[in-house]
Amino acid sequence: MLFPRTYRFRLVAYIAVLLAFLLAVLAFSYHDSRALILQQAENNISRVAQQIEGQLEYEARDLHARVKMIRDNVPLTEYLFIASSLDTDAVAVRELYKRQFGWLPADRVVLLMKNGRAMLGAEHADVIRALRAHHAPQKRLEQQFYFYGKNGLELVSVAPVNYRSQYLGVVAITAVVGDKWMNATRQLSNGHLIMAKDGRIILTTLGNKWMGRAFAPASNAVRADDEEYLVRQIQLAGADASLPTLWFALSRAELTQRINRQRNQMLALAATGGLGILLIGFLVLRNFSRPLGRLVTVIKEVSEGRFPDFQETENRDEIGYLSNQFASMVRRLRDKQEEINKVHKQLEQLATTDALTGLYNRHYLYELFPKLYSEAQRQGKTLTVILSDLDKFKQINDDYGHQAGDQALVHFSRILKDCSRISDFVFRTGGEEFLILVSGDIQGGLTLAEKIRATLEATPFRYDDSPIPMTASFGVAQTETEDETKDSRSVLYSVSSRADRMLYAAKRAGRNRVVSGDAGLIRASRA
Amino acid sequence: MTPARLTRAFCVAVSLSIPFFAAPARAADESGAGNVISGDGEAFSWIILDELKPNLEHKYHRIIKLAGREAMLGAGCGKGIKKARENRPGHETFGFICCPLTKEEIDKEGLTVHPLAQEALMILVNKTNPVDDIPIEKVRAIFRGEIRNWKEVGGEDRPIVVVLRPHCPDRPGHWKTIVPTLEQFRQDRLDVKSEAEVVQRVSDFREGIGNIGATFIFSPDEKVKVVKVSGLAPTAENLKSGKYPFTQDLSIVTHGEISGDLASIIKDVRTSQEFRQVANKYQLVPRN
Repeated sequence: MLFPRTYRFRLVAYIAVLLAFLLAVLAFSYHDSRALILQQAENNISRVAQQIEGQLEYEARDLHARVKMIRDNVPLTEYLFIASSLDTDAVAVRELYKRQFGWLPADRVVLLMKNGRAMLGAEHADVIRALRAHHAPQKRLEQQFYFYGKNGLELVSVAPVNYRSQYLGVVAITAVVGDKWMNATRQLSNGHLIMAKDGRIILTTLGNKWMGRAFAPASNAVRADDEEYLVRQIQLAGADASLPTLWFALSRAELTQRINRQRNQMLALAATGGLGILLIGFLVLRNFSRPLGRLVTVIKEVSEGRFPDFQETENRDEIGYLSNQFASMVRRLRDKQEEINKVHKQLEQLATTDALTGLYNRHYLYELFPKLYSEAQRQGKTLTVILSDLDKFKQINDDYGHQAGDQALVHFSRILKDCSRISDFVFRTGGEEFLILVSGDIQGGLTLAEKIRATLEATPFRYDDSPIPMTASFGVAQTETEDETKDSRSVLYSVSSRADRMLYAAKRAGRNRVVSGDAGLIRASRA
Repeated sequence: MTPARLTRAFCVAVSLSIPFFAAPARAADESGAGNVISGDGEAFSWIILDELKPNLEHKYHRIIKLAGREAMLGAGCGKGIKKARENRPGHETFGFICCPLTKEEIDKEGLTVHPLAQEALMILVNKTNPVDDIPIEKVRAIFRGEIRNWKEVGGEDRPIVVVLRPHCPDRPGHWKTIVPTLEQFRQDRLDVKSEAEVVQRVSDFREGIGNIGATFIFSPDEKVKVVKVSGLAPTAENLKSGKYPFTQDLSIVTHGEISGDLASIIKDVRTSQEFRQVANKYQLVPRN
């Protein structure tokens, strides 16, 4: 398996994928936005130039509304009528204008009568000249035009003044398209403005070093020193060719700076996002993966049959609840397992031991013998079987009762266990018959049998404080070489049969003795 | 409780509660519209009555509301008559006029005219104008347009600009004491709607000439001056002697039955010592 199929690994992988995705999106959007900004900047210049044209049109409309407001003022027309028809001093008109329209935003105001007399603004000779050049009194039309006067480029708004249907003259107000206007417009357009006349810059927001420089845009761009600007002309409605031209300019350096600013913002965003994702990942691992890993380890141990000590956690979230429930379950399982083991042990004991004497029973002999025999064969050893039978046991039963008989059996069993080595196995195979399985040759078996016999003879059984003498007979036999070809059950049958014959021989010989036979030779330990 | 005792208890309760209801009602009446007497009309109204008002209000426990100051901007005799006609019980009004009404108008409208004083019409010129005295006939000739340059009356060689407030054209008196009809006035003139505008126009035009009542209060920055007419200043003495020719009659006008308070107030205005002091201040000639 190439990758571990763990929750932790998957989580780390997801976070890594998310991080990579974030970075990829940011990289893509940065790359895309860079191209977009460059492209939009190109389009934007034309759009901003159009916006400025729109703004100029709006200002022109506003200027015209103001000139009409002056034109429609009844006291002023009365003053003009009286002053022009009676040829009075123009001071009255000036006073009234100041009182009525002193607040009105206008750079210059001229009230020019039809006879050529300027009632107001006589000092603005350039405006009056422009009015005479542009305005045809006989047409009596409202009009607007640009002209280049002593204040620079100016928009003039003209309205004829009538008094009782009698044409008196015109009122004209101007708005200078100069420094102030260019700086205000520059703030709104986020670019620069250039005014050029006869191929030279006469006014600009670019700074003094650009003033007076030659202005000849090539491919809609101008360059000076290290600076380059993209430019678009702003059309002035009604302006003739002799007037200055107005241009909107956007710096390439500013554009690059804007892109870099965006890149830095994106990098900062990526770094913040990445750190955020890592932090979330860390918290997820810490709060989910670690307790889950611990849970998985414990589950694995439980599945293998172990019940580790799984402490409850103090966390009260879902995983904490799960862990605590699982710990409780493990604890209960462990208790149950211990109970089962105990019962199992008891059952095993019941199945393999004799209830009265506590010695192994015949069933266990059949189960154990093949193992011991196989082990002895591997080690090149033999097994010795000692068969024992209490002498005149029926008489004890008859004389003292079955309870005394049972206690006599217990007494003999205790002697059997006391005399046996730890490697010997003692079985109760019948009522008063016992079998001792000794690992080793017959000599060891004879010695053990004699020891038991002697001990029993020397240790009378006491019943109701009365000593009751007891003896037992022993038949001893060992497994033979020819047994090797047989299966273990046959071997047991064979050796047991031989030992039984020796026991029978011991009984016939007068009891309380050990008899063994080796290759047909019968030997008695006490005769 | 017997019916007789119940009736007696009810009467006592009613009699005890009367002061509690009556007092607020009176207070409301004193501060409400019913306690107000309103006056409106020609410009002089507030000038005369404004000075008399505190004493009159104190004496009659009435509130006198005057719209005279606004009249400086254009309200006139028409407004005074209109205000007088609003008079009814609980809504007491009176008006001010500067023209002697015709008998037909008085009968038709049911008006009562209470003459107050005779007021001089002052002839105004721009302060920069060197002319200080114009003979009567030449004043009339100027307003008729027969004299069109100041040099003809001893001034600079400047055209004359006539300013006129052609109010109450159907009533006798006032500007008609200068030129009897509007048709006879110079046509290329500046017509205005209030005395304040007359002053403003004459201030603006160095060549201006106009007329206003003697009760007009000038502000310090106005660039006008009053000229004598045939050597006569517009004083009460010259009015009384009949030598100063340009005058108008100031009156209070009421409509229908008027309340005792209003009648007493008008009587006090016409005859009080305070009124005579005001008349003296503005060179008016009281009619009583």
